[in-house]
Amino acid sequence: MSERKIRIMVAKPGLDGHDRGARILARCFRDAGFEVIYTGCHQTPEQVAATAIQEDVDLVGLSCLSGAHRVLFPRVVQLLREKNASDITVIGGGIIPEQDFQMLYDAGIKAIFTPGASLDSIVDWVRTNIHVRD
Amino acid sequence: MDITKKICAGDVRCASRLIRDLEDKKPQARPRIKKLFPYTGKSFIIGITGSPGAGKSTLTNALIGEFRKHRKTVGVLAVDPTSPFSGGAILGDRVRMLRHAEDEDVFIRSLATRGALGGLSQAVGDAIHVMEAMGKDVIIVETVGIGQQELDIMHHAHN
Repeated sequence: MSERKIRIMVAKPGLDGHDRGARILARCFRDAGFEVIYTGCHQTPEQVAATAIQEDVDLVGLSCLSGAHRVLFPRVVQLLREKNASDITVIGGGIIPEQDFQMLYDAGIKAIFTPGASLDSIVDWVRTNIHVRD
Repeated sequence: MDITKKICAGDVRCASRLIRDLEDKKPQARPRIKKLFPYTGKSFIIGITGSPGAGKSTLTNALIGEFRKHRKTVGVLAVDPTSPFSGGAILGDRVRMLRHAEDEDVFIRSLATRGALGGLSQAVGDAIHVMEAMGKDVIIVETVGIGQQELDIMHHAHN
């Protein structure tokens, strides 16, 4: 019997240490039946991309509350592309002003969740949009 | 290039995907691991076990650092428990090993127990073979935090 499980990496790139949201999300993903690789704060985009590939995740969830998302999020997408891993979906969350959304979508971020987004809506998004390869 | 050659050449993407297929018990994974078998058996396998919070991940992190000083390549399999209620898991051992994340000669992979009772995941034996075929000099297997009898690691490790 074979069973695919969705594997999600939750990471906080950059110098921001506000990890409560990322931790809650990790737990919420676990309770939804996903396998979560929680990697904590203070990572470089290079570390995030390398870890995502080593762990063969389907989705990388980036959290940033410091305002550096405009640089860090697109860099992660770009590094995954360079490593032939553009099939790994990247989403973002945190304190992200609405005027930055389009710039992040254009850079390849597939979804953005800001404070107030319900946990259910995030889990639903994952179930609808993440399809594990055969 | 076929999968066997790629993994023997150290292709991380290919190797991590095969480990995933082994975990998920995909039928295509068995013939692939069989082909890798001739290239296994050359690594030194270390098991790290202990009660929750004892310092397994921290010790693993320190060991990686020591082995890298001697230019040894390292594979790490870090096992964490699957929730019996949701089937999900939080795999957090890597948090202690962040400083090695960018080192291309260190391959860290987290595994969930998925209901296995011995402190490991069923896929651990196969995942060790994949890392052996990649040519890792040392493979460190970190078990879940154990209680009174989860000692399956002794069947896999040399030390």
